[in-house]
Amino acid sequence: MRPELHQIENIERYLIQEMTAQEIAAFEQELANNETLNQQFENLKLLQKAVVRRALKNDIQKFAPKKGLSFTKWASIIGAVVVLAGLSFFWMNNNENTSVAKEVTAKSAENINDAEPVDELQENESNASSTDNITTQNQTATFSDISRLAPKNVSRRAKFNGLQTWLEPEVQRFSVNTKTGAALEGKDGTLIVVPKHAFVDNAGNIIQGNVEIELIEALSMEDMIAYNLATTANGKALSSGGMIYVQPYANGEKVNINPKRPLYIEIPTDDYDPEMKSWRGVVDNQGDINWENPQDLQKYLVRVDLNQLDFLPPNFENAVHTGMPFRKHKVADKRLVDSLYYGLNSFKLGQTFRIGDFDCSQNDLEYLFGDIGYIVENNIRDKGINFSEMVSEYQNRKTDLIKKVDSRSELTTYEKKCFCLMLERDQVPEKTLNILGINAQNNIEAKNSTHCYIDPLFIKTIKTEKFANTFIATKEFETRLQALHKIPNADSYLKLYIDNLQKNLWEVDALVAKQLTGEHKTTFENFAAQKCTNLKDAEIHQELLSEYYAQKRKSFEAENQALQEKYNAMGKEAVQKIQQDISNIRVELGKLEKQQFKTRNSLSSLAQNSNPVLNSNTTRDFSTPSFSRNVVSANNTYATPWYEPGWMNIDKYLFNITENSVDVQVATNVKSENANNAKVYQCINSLKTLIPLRITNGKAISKFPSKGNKEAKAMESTYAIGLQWSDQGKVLFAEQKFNPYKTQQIELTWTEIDEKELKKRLKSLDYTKNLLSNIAEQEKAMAERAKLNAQIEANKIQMDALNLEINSKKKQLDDLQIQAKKEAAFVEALKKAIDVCKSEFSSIELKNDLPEVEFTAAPIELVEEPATFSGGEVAMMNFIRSNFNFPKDTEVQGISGKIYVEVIVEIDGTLSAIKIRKGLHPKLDEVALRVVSNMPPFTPARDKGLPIRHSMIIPIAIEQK
Amino acid sequence: MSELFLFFGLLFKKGNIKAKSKIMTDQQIIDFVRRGDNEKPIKVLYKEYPKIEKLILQSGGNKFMAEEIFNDSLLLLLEKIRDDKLVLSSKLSTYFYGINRFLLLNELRKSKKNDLSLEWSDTLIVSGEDLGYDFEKEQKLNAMERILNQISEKCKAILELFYFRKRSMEQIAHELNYSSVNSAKTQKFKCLERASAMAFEMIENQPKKA
Repeated sequence: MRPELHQIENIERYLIQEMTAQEIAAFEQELANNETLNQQFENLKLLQKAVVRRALKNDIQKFAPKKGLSFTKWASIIGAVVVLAGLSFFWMNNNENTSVAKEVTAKSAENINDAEPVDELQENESNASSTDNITTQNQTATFSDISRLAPKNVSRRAKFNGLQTWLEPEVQRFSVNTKTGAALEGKDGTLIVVPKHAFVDNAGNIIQGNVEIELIEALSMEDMIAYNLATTANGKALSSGGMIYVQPYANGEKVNINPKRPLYIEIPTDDYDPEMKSWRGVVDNQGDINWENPQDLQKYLVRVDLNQLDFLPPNFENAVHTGMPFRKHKVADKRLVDSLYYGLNSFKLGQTFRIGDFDCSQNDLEYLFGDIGYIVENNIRDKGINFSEMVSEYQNRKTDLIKKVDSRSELTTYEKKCFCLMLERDQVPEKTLNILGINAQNNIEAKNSTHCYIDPLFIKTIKTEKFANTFIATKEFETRLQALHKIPNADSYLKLYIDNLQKNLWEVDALVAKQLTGEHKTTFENFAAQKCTNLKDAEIHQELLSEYYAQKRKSFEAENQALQEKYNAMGKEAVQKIQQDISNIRVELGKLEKQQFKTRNSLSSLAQNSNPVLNSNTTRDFSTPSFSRNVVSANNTYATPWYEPGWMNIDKYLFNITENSVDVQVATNVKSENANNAKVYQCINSLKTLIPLRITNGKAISKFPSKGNKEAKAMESTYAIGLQWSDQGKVLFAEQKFNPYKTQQIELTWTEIDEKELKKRLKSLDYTKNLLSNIAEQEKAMAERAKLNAQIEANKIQMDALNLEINSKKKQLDDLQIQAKKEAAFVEALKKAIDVCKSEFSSIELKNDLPEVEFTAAPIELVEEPATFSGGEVAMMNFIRSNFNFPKDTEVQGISGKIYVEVIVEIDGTLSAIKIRKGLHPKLDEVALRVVSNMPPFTPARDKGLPIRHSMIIPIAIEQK
Repeated sequence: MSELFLFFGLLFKKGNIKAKSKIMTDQQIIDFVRRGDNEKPIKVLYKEYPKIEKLILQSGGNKFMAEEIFNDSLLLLLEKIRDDKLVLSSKLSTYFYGINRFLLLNELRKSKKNDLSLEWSDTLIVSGEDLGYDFEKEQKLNAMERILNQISEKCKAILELFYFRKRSMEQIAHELNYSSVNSAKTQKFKCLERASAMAFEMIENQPKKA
């Protein structure tokens, strides 16, 4: 640990009173002498208190019975200085109860004051040295040009393809080769996948060559107001998750999207809402927009190399890493981890089962279930995917195995291993356990302590090439599987996915959710709400998406690399320590990378060497690390295919403006002759809702749903935003914050502002940062820096923690090596033991023509007292010898060898299920069967003093001269 | 920095406090709060609000003030209770009224109202010293809270679990999915280090306002 951290640890131990008296004395002395330590100490003490205070405040706000209490001071701690500076003035001068309107007036009065210096600056044209001023002038000139051309009192507003906007939209232009298609990324993070041949002309012919694409992103409230993009659909208010405008051009002409090859659009969001749909924007002849034709979003899945997916239960891999070195393995590579899992994913050390002399815990875990695994794989290869068949075959084998134990047949070593697994997985009936003398209680305990609920074999089965082109091979499915691992008896739910590979992923999610209860149900309902479709729909986009994600991933990797290098450059001793054990590093860094990979939710991809896909006028360098967009997790983008050029909006229905409304009168102060050039919006910025109000006789009515509406809380903070063009072509701006449930009337006060100021005002509406002051911006910058630092920190923490772990592992290393030697020796011993078992299975021989029979008493070691021939072994040998009528056929002349006859000795001693286990010649086998079936009743086998059904093998050796 | 403690008027509707919560003894309240179960105590203590509001109004405050003072007093009371050293010499409610009275006095002083002889019945007279209420410390605490708002969510979670919920590092490592207790510990120290560094930074860059 670094010394700095050590110091913090010390302070902490002092504060939580973990120190010994001696340590306390030493610490206190240092505290008195060391100024830095002292300050650090004070900071941490305060910090502890602040943590508690913060949590208590949360509790008070949460549990206070009275709604709408004034917690603003607490809630806006970040902006406390600013808010207080603004309002203290107001407070001092208003001792009476104050109406909302007054408060708002006071605020806007301040805004006017704020604005004044800017206006002065603008008027002072001789000093116009800054580019900003020049821009503003140019802008003004343009506007007055328009005003000169246009008839008086007709709108002077800026236009964009018929849309009346307040500021000129920022258009991003991309050039796409229609032969190859492209994945385009807008500056605010919108992703547009353009498949090849995606565009057609009016006659429906596919366009060849280059197409230019115009993109406007209006993802924030700021942009939506600036471009006059209201969120209304035929009188209903919507809440937006972002709007974009996409228009392809070929040779300067607008072109259409090929209906068979739609664009695929992803819009980033911080706050995923499953109710969102995609809407198409239609601009009316007033220059306003209306949204139509809502469609469900469809998120495509991206295929990922199966080997890059983690289908194992959470923490299994960690457990394997922790268990290293295991046997001959120093490093847990993927193959070992997988095979351990497939073999036995939750084998609980310390818990031992015995099958006869076979000790389950001493099993060679590796490749344990290999054989059955191969059977399944062969099935897939030979017969195609027929999962239910494979499952039944697997089940059959299990049943057979249990039958075999029940009938006390001998188990092969392999079968014993399989049986050990079944014990672990609690799939053995109690009766069978009793036969084996295994305490069922132990077994239940073992089951309760295991977290594996999915048969590892299922996992092995789906992680095969045949599934590589299904939704199984996606990051999204991986997430679902991780959730399934936590659910008891999840085999059947997994099977639902496998049986419904052709369906959309979300449909199966919903199916699964239906069968679940409680939190698991919620989990899968949330999955379903992500509306993930399937791979096959996305064929035409697949390649480009994959490439895009590959690029993204590379950039993330580069970024990680840079962070690591930076840390290395710091020359921390931790790094040197790491270098002491290269193999360990490799494992740990692998883990680190994986975690970083996970935290970014980035998708890996098939393509390793794909070329940049973007040809663009506004060049965007994919190799530059960028945080603008976290690559694809189902929760941080809205995605859908898109068929029509023009405006698109990701929105959800909010409320019907005319129904059950709570009204607020807005005195707009717009002169009636200027009404055409003015707009007043009702702006609920936390919901990204923008409703234009109708101004009649200078008044407008702002309508809200009644208080019961679930979004009403958000509406308590609503802004009335006014914008109008003055006769001079300048913009007048008005802004009033109000709570519709507390006030019935507000009044707008207008200020003339320039474009720069307008942007600033609009930006302040972004509801996370509705403070205008420099301090707020500083704090914002600080927060961002903190975020960046946190990223670096996260890396450092990982490294430090890894070092700690590596060190502790090294301490364990010697022990583990000794243990490993023991284990190796044991495996050898075990193999010998198995050989011994086989040789014990000795035979009797028939000599000459006369069959000579020798009976080996206990082919199966599971019973205390095996069954015996009445009269003993000698009697049996004699019985066989005298009853074995050697056939006269020449066919069988000269044949020597052994016939093994398998029988079950019933409790009453009679023989049943007599069959040839291993034959020599049909004719001889027939005689052997006859001899055995003619045998008199046996003395039944006994176990724990009771007679018991028991299977045994009677070997008959034939030797002819 | 003194603005930090000016209370200001806020918009709110006239309150109607519902006293649904059952009655709790002082000891029950203390026990609940100490084990971090604040819901019931908060609801019970809120039943005092109408009376306290009335007192504050009579003493020259207004409703906005009343709410702020009440909430801050409640916060102080909960902090005091969590602090194991608290020894009650009176009923809890009497003490609570005392805190309210103290904070109101504080406020009135700031708004230059010098009528400082507030006669409240059933109210313990507490001083800033009794409360351990130090203006400078409160400022620092506020600053620290702002810092807390800027550290990562992960850090917030780990610190809150440890100091507020008093969870062990083992539990935290488990709850927040750390691979080991050591990584959780390291993470916690890093968070403390970061926050402390930000505090140093803030002290240096402190705007010197009147």
